[in-house]
Amino acid sequence: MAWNLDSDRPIYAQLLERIQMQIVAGIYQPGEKIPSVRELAADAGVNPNTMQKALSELERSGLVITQRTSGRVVTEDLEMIKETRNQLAKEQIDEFMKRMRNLGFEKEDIIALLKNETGGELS
Amino acid sequence: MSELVEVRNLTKVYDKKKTALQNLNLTITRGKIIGLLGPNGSGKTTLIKILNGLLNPTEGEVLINGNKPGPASKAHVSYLPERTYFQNSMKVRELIEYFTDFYEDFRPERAREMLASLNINENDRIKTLSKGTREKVQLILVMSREADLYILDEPIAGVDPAARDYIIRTIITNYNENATVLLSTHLISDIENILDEVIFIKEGHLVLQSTVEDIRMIQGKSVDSYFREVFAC
Amino acid sequence: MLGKLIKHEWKAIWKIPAILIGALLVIAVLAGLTFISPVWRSGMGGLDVLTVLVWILFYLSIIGVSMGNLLYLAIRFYQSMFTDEGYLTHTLPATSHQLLISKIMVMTVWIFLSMVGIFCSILIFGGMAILFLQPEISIWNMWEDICREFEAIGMLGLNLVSFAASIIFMLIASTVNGTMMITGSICMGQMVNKHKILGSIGAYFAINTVVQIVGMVVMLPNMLKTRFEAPIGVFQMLASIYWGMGVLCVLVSVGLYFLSEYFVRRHLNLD
Repeated sequence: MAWNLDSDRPIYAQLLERIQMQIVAGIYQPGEKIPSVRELAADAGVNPNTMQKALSELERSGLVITQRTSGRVVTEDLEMIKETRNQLAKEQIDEFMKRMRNLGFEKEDIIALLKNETGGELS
Repeated sequence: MSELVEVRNLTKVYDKKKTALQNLNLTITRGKIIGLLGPNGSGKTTLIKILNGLLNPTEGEVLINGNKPGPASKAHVSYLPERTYFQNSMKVRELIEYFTDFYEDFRPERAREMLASLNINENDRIKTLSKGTREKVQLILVMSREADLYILDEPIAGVDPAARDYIIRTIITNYNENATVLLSTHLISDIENILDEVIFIKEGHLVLQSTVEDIRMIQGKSVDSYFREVFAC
Repeated sequence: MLGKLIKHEWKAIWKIPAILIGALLVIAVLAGLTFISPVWRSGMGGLDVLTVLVWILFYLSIIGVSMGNLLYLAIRFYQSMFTDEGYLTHTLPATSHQLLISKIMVMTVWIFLSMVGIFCSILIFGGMAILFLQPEISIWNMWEDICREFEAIGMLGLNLVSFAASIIFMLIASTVNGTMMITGSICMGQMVNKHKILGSIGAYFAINTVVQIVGMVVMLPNMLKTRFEAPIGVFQMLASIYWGMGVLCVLVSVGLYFLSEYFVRRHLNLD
């Protein structure tokens, strides 16, 4: 099944986000081998060159490492994965806050709403 | 040399009156998946037939690896026409033998593997297979060659979504990395994610040759919507 | 490449002509078996219905093999070159010469084998008639008689070897010519855009007519100047006709070949 990709944004950026997400979510464990470019491209239903570009970018950021023996693996630097996760979370929150403000909510209203939704677990 | 195909001043006129291609110039490089896009009757199939040596140009020329279409180019071009070209009384196994004999770059083990994964029996005769299966057999044979150029004419026209996914997957996983895949289609949205580049042609003219990422970045829209804009009636 | 093309062409078409020829030989034996019937020896007139039916079947089979195989070969040629199959045929890494020569060679062999098959079926039929009706005649004696006849003719000054050569040459040349008439007319028929098959049939009759007329013009003076008084004259006339027809066939075939190759190379236009 091909990945669900937006049609109006560059594909490479979406692939990058998607794989980042999978690493952060633990679908690819630290130190785990990542499938070949061809396989990933075939799964995603995208051009192998584009997939290559996305993986190169991940390598540049250090989240993925190329090993001579086993190909591409996820970094074992847990700190880096955590950092990436926090980064992604922050992006989500920023986006959420922006939309809520568009709906006319102030910061305090939003926190109150969240508390309410989660049954007061938020402190 | 990264130029794989050179199209120079190519003109094709049928029966001295119907112009299918007019002074077309193109360069196609290696290692790409390229979409040849245009409305029906824009000259896509004419260009493809000329590249395969099935038609002679009225003027101009095409060069593949520096050769005009002929035995030398045909040995390195793997072509999937819109039609199935089998002799119906042949068995699948005989087709594999046929391709093995005629194309030095054909990899029979790869074809057998793919046929087996679809549960197609090599002893079946072509005439006992369904239309969809015949098309898949043909795609498998074409993609089992280590060609320099794969030319696929409307590979996903008229197939169901599952078959479409299979076809796209087969193309991606099998083409030779130093080769180029040129595929024509009018179903752009189904296929644009696998393309590096697109070539738009209209009434035998080149309208645009660009990378897909450029179109998305510069135009901020998909190739499909951009195509609709360019070819709006 | 030519070898591979011939091999696959042979594999693609051998079955049906071989089955037809095989069936004809079987029917020839059946027709020959009718001579066992006691009707023949009783001296009574009239044949039984079964015998007549088997003979008609034999007659139709001969026509069936000669026409059927020609038609089948013509259709296969057309299909492999100019229908959807052509997309594969013409994207093989082969030249148009190689494609045409491989097909022409295999077709010619099958037309020749069809003629041989028909000849054999008639021999079987006739041989069985002699065997059953007049067992006292030995085939060996007949052969000696024939040899004596030819020796007598030979003594008149006829060169038997060259006479036989003229027949063989004419047979081979006309077989090749038969193939080229088919391939040539089908290739030319492709020029008629909308009705390619009709165009091929038209081209066939056109070529045929032209060849007949040219043949007559070339042969007639030759035949007229023959002196019929001497018995040897008839053989000389026949030999010269055979040579003439053979040469004509070769010329027409070569012309048709180059025409076909030109059309395939320059004017191929698959739908």
